[in-house]
Amino acid sequence: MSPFAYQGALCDALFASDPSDAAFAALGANAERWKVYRRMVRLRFAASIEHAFERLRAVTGDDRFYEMVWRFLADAPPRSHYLRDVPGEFLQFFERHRDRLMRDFTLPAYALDLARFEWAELETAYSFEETRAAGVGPLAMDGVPVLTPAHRLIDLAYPVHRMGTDGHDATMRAAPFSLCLYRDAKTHEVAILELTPVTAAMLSLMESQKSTLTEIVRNAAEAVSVSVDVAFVEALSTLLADLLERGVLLGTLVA
Amino acid sequence: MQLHGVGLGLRWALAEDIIERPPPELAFIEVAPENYMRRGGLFPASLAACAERWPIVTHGLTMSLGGTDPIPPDYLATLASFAREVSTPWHSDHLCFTVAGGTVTHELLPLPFTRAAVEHVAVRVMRAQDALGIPMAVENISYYAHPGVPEMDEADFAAEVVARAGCGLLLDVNNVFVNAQNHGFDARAMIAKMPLDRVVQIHVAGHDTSDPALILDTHAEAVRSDVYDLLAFTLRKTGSVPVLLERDDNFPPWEELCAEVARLDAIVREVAR
Repeated sequence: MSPFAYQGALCDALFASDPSDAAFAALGANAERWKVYRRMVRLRFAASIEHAFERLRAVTGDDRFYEMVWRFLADAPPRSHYLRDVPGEFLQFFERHRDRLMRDFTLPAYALDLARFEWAELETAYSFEETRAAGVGPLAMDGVPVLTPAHRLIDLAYPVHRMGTDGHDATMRAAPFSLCLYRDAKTHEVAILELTPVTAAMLSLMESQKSTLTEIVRNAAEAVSVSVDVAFVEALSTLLADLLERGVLLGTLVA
Repeated sequence: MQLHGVGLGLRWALAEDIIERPPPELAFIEVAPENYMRRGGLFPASLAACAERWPIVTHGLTMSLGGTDPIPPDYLATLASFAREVSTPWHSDHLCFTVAGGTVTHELLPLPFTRAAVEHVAVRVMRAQDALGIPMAVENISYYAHPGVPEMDEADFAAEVVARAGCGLLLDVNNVFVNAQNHGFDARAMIAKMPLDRVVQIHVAGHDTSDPALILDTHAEAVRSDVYDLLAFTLRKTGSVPVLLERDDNFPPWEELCAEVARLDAIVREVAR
């Protein structure tokens, strides 16, 4: 084996589902010592992923959870230089192979939603994009609204955000929810807002930063078939004030 | 910026204690940039609080200096920006590979001690140094197996890399101790053979001796007496060099960690007298 060809061979032995003893022996030295690296690598990734998906692990139990992790490592090994990104890569793997994983591991119907929610919480906590304060002015109906970068909008088919950490919830029934997760600017804690359909539509439109607040309100109301009457405008005023106070809505884009 | 004395790694589990109740001897903070780059919220807030009080030095985990995949330009650009922000006097990473075929292993995997590997690593260190715009240092790792037949020992390998690349050496005395135990050589002789004139920083840590046949560099135990002794031996040869206590897991009561910092500081001062 050439001096550097060994790197690929070692990587294969670290991540494969069931590498042969010959795969380790081919690396040279003592095969048992190369297996130490395999244990260390797998434990590190397992720890990172279980930290991120604590509630999913409680639902699946350890055996199924770790089998999913080992399959992820074998089929789609990590690509990010940032260890904290790896749970997100695990979620992408789960989403790509949803049907197969749901079947092979007899997962409850809400399992993927739960994983998506848990990762959204972490992604919000980690969010690093910045909005220049100089680029944002007071909120105006004819301006383009700006949301804090430290937020995530997520649509769920099951109310997994109301689950505890004590395992499978046999009473869980499908019920659509739209959530806005955001990071509090002072405490850095992640908070969750359950959104009405019209608020979810408005926040979704605001993310694109392409339309004025007036256009967004009109389009969102149309999308969910709500008439813009006096009651709506009063509720809108309260909503916008609340979003501004929470720091979810920062103001209006300054040209 | 001149670093001196004893530092601690800014781990999340330690951040509050470091900021609220720092050991009086604490002289600098080391951070793994990968844990802070592209990250908002509490982590940068803690780093900013530390940067107000102590010099910061960066120590990377995933540059994969011995790897064959190109070092991603966006990773280097982000790292360069981060290094400027914290005004690190140098950036260090390991004499190992962590990436192969696009897979990032997040593990420090051993390189063969060969001339080809020296050349390969040195060229990548020089390129990284150019991209970062600051000096680099390379750290000797703990290795549990060696691929193929070595053409030189670890000290010669490190010496040739730093000479060829024109970089510094971050000498991890615990790693030398662990390797000496696992591969059956004399730790002091290996230290003495290292390019000690290039040492810019020293690491010390604890290791796991559960299996005497293979001790593991865990950073999850207290520093052993043998490693304190090896540190003193090393410092007598290098002169005053900043010393970093690595503790990444299985955190003890804060007072115990502070006592380790104090003990390290006493060794540094004793040798400096």
